[in-house]
Amino acid sequence: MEIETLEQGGPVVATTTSPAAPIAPSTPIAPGEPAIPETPASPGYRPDFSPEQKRLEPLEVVSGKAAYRSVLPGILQVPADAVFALCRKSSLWPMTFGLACCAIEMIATYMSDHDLDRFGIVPWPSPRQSDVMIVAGTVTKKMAPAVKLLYEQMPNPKWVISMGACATNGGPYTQYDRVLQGVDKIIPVDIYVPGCPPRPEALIDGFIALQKKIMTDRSSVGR
Amino acid sequence: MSTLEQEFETVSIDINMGPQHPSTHGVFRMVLSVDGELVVDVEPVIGYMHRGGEKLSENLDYRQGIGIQDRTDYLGNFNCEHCYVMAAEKLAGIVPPERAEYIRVICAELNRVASHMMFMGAFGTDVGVFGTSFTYAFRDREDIQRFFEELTGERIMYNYFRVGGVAWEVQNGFEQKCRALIKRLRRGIADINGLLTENEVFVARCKDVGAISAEKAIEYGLTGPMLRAAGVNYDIRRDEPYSIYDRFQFDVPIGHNGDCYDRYLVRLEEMRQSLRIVEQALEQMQPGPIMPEKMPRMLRIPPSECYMRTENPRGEYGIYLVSKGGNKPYRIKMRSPSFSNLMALREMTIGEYVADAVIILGSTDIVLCEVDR
Amino acid sequence: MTTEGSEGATEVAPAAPSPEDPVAKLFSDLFPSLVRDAGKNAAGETTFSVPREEVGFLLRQAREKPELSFDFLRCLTGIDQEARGIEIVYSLLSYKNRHAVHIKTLLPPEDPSVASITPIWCGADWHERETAEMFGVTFTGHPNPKHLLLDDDMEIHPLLKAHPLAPIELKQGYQTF
Repeated sequence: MEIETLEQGGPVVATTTSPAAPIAPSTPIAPGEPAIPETPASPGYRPDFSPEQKRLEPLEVVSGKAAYRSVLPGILQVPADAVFALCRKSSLWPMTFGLACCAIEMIATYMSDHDLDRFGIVPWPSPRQSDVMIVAGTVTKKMAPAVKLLYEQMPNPKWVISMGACATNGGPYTQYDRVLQGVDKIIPVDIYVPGCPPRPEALIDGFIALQKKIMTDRSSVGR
Repeated sequence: MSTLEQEFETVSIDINMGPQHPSTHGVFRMVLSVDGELVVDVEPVIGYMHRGGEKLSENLDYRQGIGIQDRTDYLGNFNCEHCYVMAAEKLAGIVPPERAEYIRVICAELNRVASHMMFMGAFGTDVGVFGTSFTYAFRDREDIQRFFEELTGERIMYNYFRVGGVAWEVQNGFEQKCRALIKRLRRGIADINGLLTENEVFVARCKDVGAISAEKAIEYGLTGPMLRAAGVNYDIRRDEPYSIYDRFQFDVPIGHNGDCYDRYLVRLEEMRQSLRIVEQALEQMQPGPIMPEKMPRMLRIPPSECYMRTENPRGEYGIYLVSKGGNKPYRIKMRSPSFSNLMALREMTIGEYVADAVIILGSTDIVLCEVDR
Repeated sequence: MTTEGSEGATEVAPAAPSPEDPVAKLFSDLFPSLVRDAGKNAAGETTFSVPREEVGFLLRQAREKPELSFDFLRCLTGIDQEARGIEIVYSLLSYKNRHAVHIKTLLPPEDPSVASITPIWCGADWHERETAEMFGVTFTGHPNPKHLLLDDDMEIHPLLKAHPLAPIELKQGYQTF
């Protein structure tokens, strides 16, 4: 791990040559010292920065184009994009993130009467393996860091459906100061489904709109 | 400390069952300190759904505030609405007409069945019958919701009760549809019974898990099925009757041990008794007005206060309503049953295994919007 | 039993003062100096006030005396009476004797503190924590006086009348076409 300073006494920026290096600590480190001492028992151990700050920093963005887009540009991309978009939209796995009353209608949409499984939509508890996050219910300011953390834990490509009035703009509870007036203040939202709570048919309509959006945006998502 | 424990130095680990977890109870956080698999301490953290229902109701008049009540307990909506309109009626001195009372009781009891059906579904999922009991439970819930949609226009946030009566007259064919619904619900309850009650796995996971004694239950302020499963013979509908509940004959199921299995059995039997009440109400109901004749357009209530309570599916839902004149309440305190039931979680979970902590939480049947209001 | 017209009773519904109010009679027989402004609220349940220094003592006696035996603390309500202070209402029910009572106490605005009743009923724990953070009341002797519903470091008291509602944040103005 090397440490190099910018010119003119700028901030110390730690770069790395190894593929999986830890993120730079906030306290300045003397050159020659190991970046983060290994165990709590070793002398000079400095506990890392607070978990909150670590969680809310954006992850490193991978840059560069995907292989199939650079080879024979345009010719391979068009059918490949269509196939990928078709696969992605036909098998959206939402993370079960029902917060409040809208969760009941979301569950009712998964159940037999208004089946979502026929669209390939299977509720999945873990954010690490899901595609869509349905924010169903009011987001309070106490819950907001957890929502952001869950969004960051989802791998790309990911979409967000904001279900119900509370997630869109605070809903009936918008004038209370502990309520976040809309989840799009902290995460980017793709589809808004209005209602309090929206009918299951409205949520299905939202999913169909999301599928159309995935198909339309097929050439501009991803690397 | 035995020699074995002296050889291995163990520490308690804190497991965070964070605000988002797969048991669909909402945003609730538990920090379990475990020693191996045994739970040593539980710290519940609530407040992730604190939306200020009480503060917002101070700015909504007595008709607008019904919407907030719907959303407080989103599974027992009619019961919360019932409490609110009864509290306002007590302060204003309004007596609702008979037919309105009967309609209210029918709606409240069918809502109780729907709420307990949701419990059956979610509890079965927690125990391990993943998804099966959920689909059966929601089949019956959808029937009830369709019935209510014909009546009120809404699937879930009904907003149908008004101070003085109900908003509009019932639909055509109300009685036949209601009777057909009761028949289908009886079959649904029998299905759930057959699926869960004698299921070996279910019984093994729920019996003697999370037991609480009657004295502790009373001291913690538990109410509803949690209290009755612990052995205390008290039901607000029978012992402090409100509305017209004193005209109906129904039994109140009481448990013995106070464990999760007893709570399940109490709720199952309560569903059957609710259907009994609905049938009696249908027979006793007479045609008539649904609102009193001289209802003011904007209801103003003289300065007074009262505490009104109903038997919600989760327990005793109380509203302490303070009015200082005007058309808006001065202070409305919602005493929610899940808030008090959740206080006993620590007592019930310490000494059980981690896997049982989920079952105990599921058996308290909490609704987080009600806990945090 | 005193009648209405005294200072603290303007909120109680002026139901006709009935001579037979057994619960109020029980309390005023046992603790004649503490019971003030006894009456009935709009639902017909007994209500009276006690001075705040005696709240702890009176509630413990309400639980332990066999003829009272109020074993269930139903509800703990805080009411912001603005200039007069903060009023706390304890709603109690007795399963054994089947009677109910609401005991009120007024906390002055400059020192809103009262003894905690968590040692008497352990179910008062969260009720007191919530009232403390919503109104700024201090419950002396509470075993765990942390915030319950708000974040741990918040210093606001939302349910006070002086606390305003939040303005609705518009991201863009209204458009006219």
